[in-house]
Amino acid sequence: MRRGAFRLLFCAMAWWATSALAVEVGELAPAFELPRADGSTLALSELRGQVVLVDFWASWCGPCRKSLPHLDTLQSRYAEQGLRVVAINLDEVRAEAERFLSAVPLDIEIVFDAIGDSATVFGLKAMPSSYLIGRDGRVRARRLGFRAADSVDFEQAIEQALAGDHPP
Amino acid sequence: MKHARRIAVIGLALALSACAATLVQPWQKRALAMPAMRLDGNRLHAHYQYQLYASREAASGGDTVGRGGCGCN
Repeated sequence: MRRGAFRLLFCAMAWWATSALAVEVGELAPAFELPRADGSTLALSELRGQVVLVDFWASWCGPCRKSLPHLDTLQSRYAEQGLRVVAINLDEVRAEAERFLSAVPLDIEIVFDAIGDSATVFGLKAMPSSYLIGRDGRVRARRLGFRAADSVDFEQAIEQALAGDHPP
Repeated sequence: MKHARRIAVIGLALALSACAATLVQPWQKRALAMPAMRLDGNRLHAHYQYQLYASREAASGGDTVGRGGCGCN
């Protein structure tokens, strides 16, 4: 009896420690409104009706630095079909992000979130993380981390979303 | 007495679980990603040191593929 109670308590503690809820495929993407470099703001709701790729990155994260030029090529490849790439920078020190961006010029939308509220509402599990959001505002695919080799599935998901197919 | 002990144990468990709940989130790892946080300091120096250790102490293998022990590879 007593052991059962302790087991229950342990389970409750374990659940509590890991209870940050992550956004899963099929769920509505949480809203965010964040500033660009020029001070204007970008809200995810403005992009409703378009296929949006939301990427979370920081300049201190090696795989993120590799993934951004890759996202830039994705944007230029699928821009005509209506893909919008939004890269949310999570650097606590803005100058570090700007130093990286001046060394690696990018055409994608960059918005800044030093506090990390957007990462909290998405329940981010890894850096970098990419979320593909369909025209209906629902998450269609999610990619944790970045390896150039396994981006084929993700690109397939992008093409399906642009074609308006329902997710499998 | 028995009751007080039980309360103390549950209180301790709750206090410990409070520590467990302060997770460092993936986007908060800037400081952890700094070169100064490496356990071995400098990668090149660590490699050099391991090379010496492996060849002089005949301690090759275990962590990576086995080597000859001559310090030449």
